Amino acid sequence: MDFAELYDTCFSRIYNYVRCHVRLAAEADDITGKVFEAALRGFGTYDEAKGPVQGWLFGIARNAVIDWARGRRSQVSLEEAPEPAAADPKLEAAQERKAEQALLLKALAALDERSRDIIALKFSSGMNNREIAAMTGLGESNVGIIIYRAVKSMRSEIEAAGKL
Amino acid sequence: MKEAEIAGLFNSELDAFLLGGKEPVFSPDPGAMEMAGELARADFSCDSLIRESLRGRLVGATPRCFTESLHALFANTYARAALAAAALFVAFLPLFHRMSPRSAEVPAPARPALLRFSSAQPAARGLVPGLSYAPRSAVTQAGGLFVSLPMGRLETEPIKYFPIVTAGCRIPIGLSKGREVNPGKHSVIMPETGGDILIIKRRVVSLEDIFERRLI
Repeated sequence: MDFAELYDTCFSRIYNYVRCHVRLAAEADDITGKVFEAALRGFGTYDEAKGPVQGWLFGIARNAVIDWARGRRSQVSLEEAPEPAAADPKLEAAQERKAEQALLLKALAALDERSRDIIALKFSSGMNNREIAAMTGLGESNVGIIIYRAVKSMRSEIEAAGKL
Repeated sequence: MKEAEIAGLFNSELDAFLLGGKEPVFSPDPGAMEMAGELARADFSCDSLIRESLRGRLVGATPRCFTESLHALFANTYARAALAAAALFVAFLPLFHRMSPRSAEVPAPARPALLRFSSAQPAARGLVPGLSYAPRSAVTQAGGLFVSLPMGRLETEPIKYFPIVTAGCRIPIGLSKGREVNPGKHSVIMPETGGDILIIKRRVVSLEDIFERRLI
């Protein structure tokens, strides 16, 4: 797999993973850009024997998000800044989709960092619980429980908002 | 049922859904599975404004392997045509080389190549002290082996005596009258035969006898 193929295959997944942590699209763009820049720098030294390339890429993304979170603590939070209006406001379906995404992001933001990270990995990376456990340093069964609890918590959050 | 068991069942059904798109039916907590389905279907990447520009910047900077570079090169019609023309040129280059020097050669009539001052043996270069041989470069600059001199200019030169020598050891050295003229960077002696025998021998020479040909 060359870098272009990796980019085309993984851009959406990496972006989604980052976006689960970062509510602002512009910040997610910024972090995703850094992830792929770092991936390009290290692509020549990537060793297939050490694991699938997606796992390697998500490791870079995870580090980028951790770095972003560390830097954010010393800055004024923009979490609550309003998202820019949809580019196609006339389309009702697009607005509805945006509203659903906003709810999901809000529910994700309500999770603790570890749960959010595991949920983001589970639904973005395509990794199974064992691979997530290896990446995060947790036990596989623990990862399963965290996922179940996090999903239930998000469901409760959205139900409380009365939207879903 | 303990939470760990419920979580295990939930995760196995979730994995089946994520891998195969099998519609999740999780009876203990249908709401949780519905939520998981929403998460699995969520795609925020349409909000990204840098997807294409970042790709252009990063993929354009990727060093390609040789076959990919060739593939990309041949994707361009103009580049393909230029490469085809270059390949044809290279293929026919030996043929052009073979044809062009022959056709460019001056059809050489029998040129007087060497002056010999005796019928016995050919004159050896360097044995005539008075004769200076023009270097090859001077000859080519002058346009040929021999340079035509206007008769009027020749007659203005004084007559001198020059040693005449032939190759071989037993031929006596004599003197020959002649006029030394300087048509260019080198001097030329125009001998007058007088009582000596001067044989001008003609033979056909090719350019290869005079010039070194090098193929580029």
